[in-house]
Amino acid sequence: MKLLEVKNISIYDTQTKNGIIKDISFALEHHRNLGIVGESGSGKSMMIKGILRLMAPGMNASGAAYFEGEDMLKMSAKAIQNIRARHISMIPQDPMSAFDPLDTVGKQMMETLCENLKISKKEAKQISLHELERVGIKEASQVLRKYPHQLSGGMLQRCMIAIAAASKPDIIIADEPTTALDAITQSDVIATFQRLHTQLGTTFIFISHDLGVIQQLAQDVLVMKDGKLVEYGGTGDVFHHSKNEYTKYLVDTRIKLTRSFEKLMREESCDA
Amino acid sequence: MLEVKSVYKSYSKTGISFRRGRVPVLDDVSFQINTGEWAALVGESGSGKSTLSRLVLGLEKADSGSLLLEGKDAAVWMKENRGQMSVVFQDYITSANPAFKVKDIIHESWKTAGGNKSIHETVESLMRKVGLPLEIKNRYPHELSGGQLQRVCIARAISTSPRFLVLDEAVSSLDVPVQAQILQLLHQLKAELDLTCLFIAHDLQTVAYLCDQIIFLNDGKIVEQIETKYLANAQSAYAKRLLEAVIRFKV
Repeated sequence: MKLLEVKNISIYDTQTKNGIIKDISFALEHHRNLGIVGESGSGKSMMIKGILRLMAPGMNASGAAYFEGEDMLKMSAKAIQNIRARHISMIPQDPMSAFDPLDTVGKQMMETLCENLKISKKEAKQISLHELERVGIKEASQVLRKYPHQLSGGMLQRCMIAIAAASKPDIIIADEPTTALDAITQSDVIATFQRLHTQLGTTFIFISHDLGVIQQLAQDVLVMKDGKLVEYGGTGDVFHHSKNEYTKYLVDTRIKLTRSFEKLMREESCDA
Repeated sequence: MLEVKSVYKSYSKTGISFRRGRVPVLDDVSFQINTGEWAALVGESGSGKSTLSRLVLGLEKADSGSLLLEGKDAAVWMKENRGQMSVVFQDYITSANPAFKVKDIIHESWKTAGGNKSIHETVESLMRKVGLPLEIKNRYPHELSGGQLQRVCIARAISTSPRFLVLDEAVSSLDVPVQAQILQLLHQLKAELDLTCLFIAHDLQTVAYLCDQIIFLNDGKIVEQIETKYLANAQSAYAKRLLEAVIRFKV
């Protein structure tokens, strides 16, 4: 059975009747990560928000999104809340602004866990420490006591991942997980995702405009442009043998960007 | 062109504390960029790259050490050569006045650089040069896309035909296809204009595309300076770590 099946989802503005997402279908299989790529403004984040019913008021979604055979777009508010708490976690785009600046990271982590998993504060603290260590934070008890501004972007991003992973969800959705980070932190965070994928067997959906990140992390890829699905298939197929003009354009620009770097690196392997 | 000699810079610790202390940001930084060369300054966030760029731009003063432009003290040089140094920042939204139209934004630095009679370039030709459609001349910043607004900032930067250009993470907040376009534009400007450039970045892939030499900055110290063509042979541990961290896209 498919883990998540999205059928003909469309999102539109109820006042202006403008379509933002137009008729997109895809399916998520167990242990096969999905990457969603496209330029900024192509509707990548909007679609995910639509599926999780996190849209701004005034937006409406039609179509269907089946999780364990139930349509998430039609279920009660309480049921969708339960899915968001235990089955599908989301890591928001900007780790810096996703935390409340007035509370410690630990308090916010524990609050989330208590609320979502219905556990005591003590248990929540245990789980927080454990999860922080899992994502590669060494002094976890120190980090819990810190305020968001005292931690770097990469640390906050890892705290976010820890919160998302703590409820052992079936799916974690990461929205532009590496965009705000610098090169070294980026590769650390990617390694963390890979570890979670193999250790916990979580299936991920990655939203990114960086094809390199998607290529490393996702088995399937969905290319979007202006709210429409352009191409959908295995990562290797889409990136290497695409027949679609737009996908080719994305791949070409990415290659163009790195051509000189790759050339320099190839010379090294020739020397060696 | 630019010569930085054993520059130190530290900031005082903020907050209420009995232990007054200073946090060193730059620690004995020395390097030079030859005229016509494009140099990249690469490092993690917090390594002091932005502080160094602020010192070069004269927005802050170094605690000790000297910054020389063509052999003269940077402050003196800037007074003598108004408008000859330009900058493009990472955050294009805050670097354009939201109440100005595109043509005014481009025109502004041109006007304030004043007294420089050698400038005959009009806003239109600048817009053409950076690949902007002329019909957006009368638009406001919020009506433009990120890539367009960054092009406006580049047009403004080159409007005074500068000889020295600082690009502070100028492409980092754009998405990949737009990054490629802007880099292509910069590449073209590099060929057309007689420019010396300090390019600050954290992504080695974009740097390799444009620059002749790469300076690695880690924890306020320069760990290695290397010509781009020998990048693969970088010796220092930090440079190697950065090279390994690059997310490659394989074809």
